[in-house]
Amino acid sequence: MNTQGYHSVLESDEVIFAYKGSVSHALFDDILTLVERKISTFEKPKTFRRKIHVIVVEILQNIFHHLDASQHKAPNFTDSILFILGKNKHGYYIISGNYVLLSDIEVLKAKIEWVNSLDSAELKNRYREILNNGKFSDKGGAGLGFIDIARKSGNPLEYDFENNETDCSFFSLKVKISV
Amino acid sequence: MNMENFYLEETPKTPEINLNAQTGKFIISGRSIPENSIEFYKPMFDWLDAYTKEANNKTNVDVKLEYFNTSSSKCLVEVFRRLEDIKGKGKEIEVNWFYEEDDEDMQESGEDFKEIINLPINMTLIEDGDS
Repeated sequence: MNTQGYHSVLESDEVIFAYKGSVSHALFDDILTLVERKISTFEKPKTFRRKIHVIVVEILQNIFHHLDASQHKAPNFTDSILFILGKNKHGYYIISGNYVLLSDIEVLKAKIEWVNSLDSAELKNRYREILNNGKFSDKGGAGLGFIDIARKSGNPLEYDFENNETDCSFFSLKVKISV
Repeated sequence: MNMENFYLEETPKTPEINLNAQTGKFIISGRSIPENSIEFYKPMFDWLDAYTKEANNKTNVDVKLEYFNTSSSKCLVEVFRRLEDIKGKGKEIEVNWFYEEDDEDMQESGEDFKEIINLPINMTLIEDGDS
């Protein structure tokens, strides 16, 4: 999705909250608080609000772990985080975006495609296998993020890599949560 | 030998953890979404390692989580593994996994742990509380 694409998203759908800019742990907490407050005003059942909240947590922590792990200190990595929470007639959606190294694209793509290839029963089984394997990633991640997001959202993960830089790519992820 | 009890206050991102060595009553409640789950849970792991050596004949564990991130789920497995060790020494362990009505995510999470953990995990439905 290019910038024109994001603009049309902002125009066509009801964007509840959008952020583009630098990222920090304090900002992470602010986004969580705002999302929680915004969602609560829509008076959805508590369990549905929790589902959205925990998906947002997983998405943002994925980005953090990725930034920490990449060791890439180029300004655009930490200064260009995108986060959008929106609502349309199908339900809610969350779009996140961050720069990744070109060398990370294939791994990310393969992981998302793999998750998208699994039906709900397979997602459950793979989740349990990874939960049971006793391993943590280098950064303390569970290796369960995308599976958990797909499982809780009940929809395939949409993603895009925008390649207009020489050493990095803007990775965007769209998660749809049906009401 | 008397062990100190273990207590952590609830925060917006981390649960209350209340482990009573004398009564064998353990409670984990709230949210668990710390960015560094291993760092958060490490003191609890250490405490449980010590408790394993002098565990009560019966330990009753209430897990009343609203939701948790995936790295916390791995840490919960580590907690349950230590409880399995205690059970392996002939002590009784009972886990009550609480979930609210219509909370399919927490119900499924409980089922996930039931599937991979060798402990009696009782799925316990709780009345809808305040939001």
